Amino acid sequence: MTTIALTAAWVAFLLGMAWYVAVLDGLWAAAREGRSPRAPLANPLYRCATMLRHQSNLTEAPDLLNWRLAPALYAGLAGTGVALVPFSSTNVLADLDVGIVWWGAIEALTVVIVFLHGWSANSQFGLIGAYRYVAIGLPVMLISMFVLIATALPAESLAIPKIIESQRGFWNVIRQPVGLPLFLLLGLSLSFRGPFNYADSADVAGGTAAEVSGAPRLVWEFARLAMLTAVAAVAASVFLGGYLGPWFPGPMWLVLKTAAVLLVLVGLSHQLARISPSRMMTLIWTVLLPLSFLHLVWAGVLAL
Amino acid sequence: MNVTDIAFWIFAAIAVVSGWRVFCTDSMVRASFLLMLSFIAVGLIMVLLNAPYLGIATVFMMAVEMMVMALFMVMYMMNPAGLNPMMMVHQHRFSIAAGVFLFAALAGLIIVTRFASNPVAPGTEVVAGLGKELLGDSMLIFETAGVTLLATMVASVILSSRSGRFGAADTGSVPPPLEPGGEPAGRQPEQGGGHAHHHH
Amino acid sequence: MLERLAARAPVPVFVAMGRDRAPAVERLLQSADIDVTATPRHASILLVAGRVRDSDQAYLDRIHDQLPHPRATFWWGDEQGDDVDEAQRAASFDDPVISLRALYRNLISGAHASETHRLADEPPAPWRGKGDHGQGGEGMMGGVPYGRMMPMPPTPDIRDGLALDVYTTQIGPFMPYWPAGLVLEVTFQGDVIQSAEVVHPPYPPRDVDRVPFDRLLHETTALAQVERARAAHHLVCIARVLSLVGLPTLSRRAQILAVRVRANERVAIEPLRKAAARAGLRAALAPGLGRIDDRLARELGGPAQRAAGDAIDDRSDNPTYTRLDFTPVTQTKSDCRARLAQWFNEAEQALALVSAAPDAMMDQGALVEAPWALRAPPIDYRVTELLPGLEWSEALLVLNSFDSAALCRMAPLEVP
Repeated sequence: MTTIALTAAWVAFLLGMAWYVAVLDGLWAAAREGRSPRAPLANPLYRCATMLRHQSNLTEAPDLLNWRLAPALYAGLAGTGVALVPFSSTNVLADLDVGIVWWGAIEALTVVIVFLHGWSANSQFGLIGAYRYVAIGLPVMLISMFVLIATALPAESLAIPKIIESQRGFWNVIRQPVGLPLFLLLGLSLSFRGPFNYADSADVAGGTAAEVSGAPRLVWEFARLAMLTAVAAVAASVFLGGYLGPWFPGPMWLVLKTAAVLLVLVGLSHQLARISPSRMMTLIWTVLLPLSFLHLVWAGVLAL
Repeated sequence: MNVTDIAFWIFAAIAVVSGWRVFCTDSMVRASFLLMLSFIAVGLIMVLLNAPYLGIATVFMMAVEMMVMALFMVMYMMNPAGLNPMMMVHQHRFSIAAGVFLFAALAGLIIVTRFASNPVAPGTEVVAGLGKELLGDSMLIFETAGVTLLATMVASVILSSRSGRFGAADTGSVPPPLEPGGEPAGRQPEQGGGHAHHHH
Repeated sequence: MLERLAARAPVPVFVAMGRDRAPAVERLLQSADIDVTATPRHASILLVAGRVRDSDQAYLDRIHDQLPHPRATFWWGDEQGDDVDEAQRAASFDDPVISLRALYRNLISGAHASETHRLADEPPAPWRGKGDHGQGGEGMMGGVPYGRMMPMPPTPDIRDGLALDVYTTQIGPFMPYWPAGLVLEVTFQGDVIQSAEVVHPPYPPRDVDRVPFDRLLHETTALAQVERARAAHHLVCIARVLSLVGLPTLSRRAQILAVRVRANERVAIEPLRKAAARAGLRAALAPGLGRIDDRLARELGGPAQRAAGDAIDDRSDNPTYTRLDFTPVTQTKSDCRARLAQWFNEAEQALALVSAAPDAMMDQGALVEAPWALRAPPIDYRVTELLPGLEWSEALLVLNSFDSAALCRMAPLEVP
């Protein structure tokens, strides 16, 4: 495919999956509440229109540059994450030798951007949401890096296309079973949903998004969905084999696998309660991080 | 002038300008992130020099480090978290002079030195070569040592943060006062009814 | 085009609870066309439910000015006069959803003008003119009075390290998932509460919850009415806690159940309880969070006392109940988990009593336990002693584990 066609496919993938997640959210919430969903396919578009009709708020003496840039940068990071994922064995928008390391940089910069979004508004609830998120987001990032390194071991390469190729025999989810669940936690944390929603939760009146309205808010919510898509796409690639699969063409497999991972992520974000930040930190540092060490050792032993 | 050259000049300009702005800005959080921006520009220059792992790892590490630094700023200056204007530099006349002198000296040195011209062949496996160069035959030892060091750091922080000068952190230590010489701030743990929350 | 899409969206509404004659706001959630937002900046309509205290009017004005344009205020309750536009009000017993949707559509299309600011657009503190940003001083830390103290150790020994900064703010009466009407001046270090002071006390229990119990004082009342009111009240309290632990869908379900209970329908709470347990509700509430000692539990009375293990319930002395083999429900530890379990158990017991004796009547003046402790004297303990040392999310859970009557007694206004 030419670069232009590839870029168009990338944009369509991002927008389409973001809409798909929004639809899933509406359906799942309606099922949990015990009522029929309200215009399931079009409701996300209606809510986008509402957000666009609102005025963009200002607070007292915010850091306007960072505040307005943060949603756009977040969406951009999500976009570069999806660009790392190959659609087929010859089509990848960003063929980086060090794809895994770039993904790690995306995670680190996401934490920075969410913090800036909350801090720049010069508001107490935004700030509380921001640094609660940092306290949880940084250790979760460590877990994900160990898990990703474990997937790079059988491939002997840090590039995502090579990791996919190394799964021709077995998918990584089979030979490294703990990896995918741990990576899904990262997905919930990067777009702060459900049990990891420390940044934008209702108990801080909306957190980092508490003071945002209008078009910036729309970009922020889209960026969250896009980041969830990026995590799902990377998970589908390094654990579920990406475009590998019989009968159907490669890109279709990628879309199907990403959609399946997104279904699991949306389910987790609706089904699990959120524990308090300090207990979550204890859980991450004392249970999940040693578990990811052991997982890395296991993967290393397998690769030897 | 091809794309790589233009990109290099842009990143170099960003690195220098944001590095300078670190000292002109009046908010500690902004200073941390401007420093991060400067390092990111340097990391991207390394990517241009066909050292992708080093460049992107620099970006990764600096993002995390500056985030932790900004968080510590917020811990010590909460209202309104570094947006309150303040003067952040001391002895700035001397520092400016020293900085300009050093920059001029280093830049002069770089310009007059003849660097070796050793272009890397396009298809080289840079990452694998870097790994072998850095770690050689000691990969496993390095991994083990790295994990052990991390565990040691975390354990030492936990052990030392438990007890402060005024007693154990979660039972009886008295926090410092809000004004110098005033009463200790925060709750008084000896009173009944204050059910202590254990900080992890 | 954008207007047509936006007009079909759910109406974003921010609810400001009033004190008197407040309607049952949970009725809004039955309709999927209303989106109750967590912050005024995401809403188009400010819904004022009931009558707001005079002391809260200033806060209401600030909230109103935070709504983005296009915006309008809607009054739900019987208190406003005739000068309010017909399209912007509804009586307490009416369902405002249709009016809200019509108002929203008119706002979007421009037929209804967006409301202007009520407060002047000025900074809260006057600029002093000194310093680069007029912050009032020069020097390293921003000078006096807006500057911060240098975070040096308070004692001469430099080994003591830097002092963590504190931040004082008022958390106001209309914040969602905050006890309605309570204004606390809270000092934070990070998100840990260092101290709290009551600026305005919280509202007493809502009129809509009190009706059957007040009626029982004057006339014969059905047992079913009393017990349904109890179940509905407990479900609303449970719903707040569910929202705080990140289960908004279950919270909405609980509030819809409360509405249906009040509407005399048959409902089952057991599925909700099972769903919440599967979602990890017990894990979300740490054991020992919000633990109060037995002396305070006895003084508080009501569900808090029963959650601590004392089986004291006025209904044990009522012949209508003893005929149904009523025994009070208790828990063992008196922490947030126990109080939440107590609410669940009492709501389920109430509905079981209703289905066991749907036609039982009670004479005027019969002794009945309200969903909160009724005839209890003021107590010495203050909620501001319960909060320090808690993180923000835990503090909210603790505050919402008490019903409004208990909070009123624990957070009175201190007369200087």
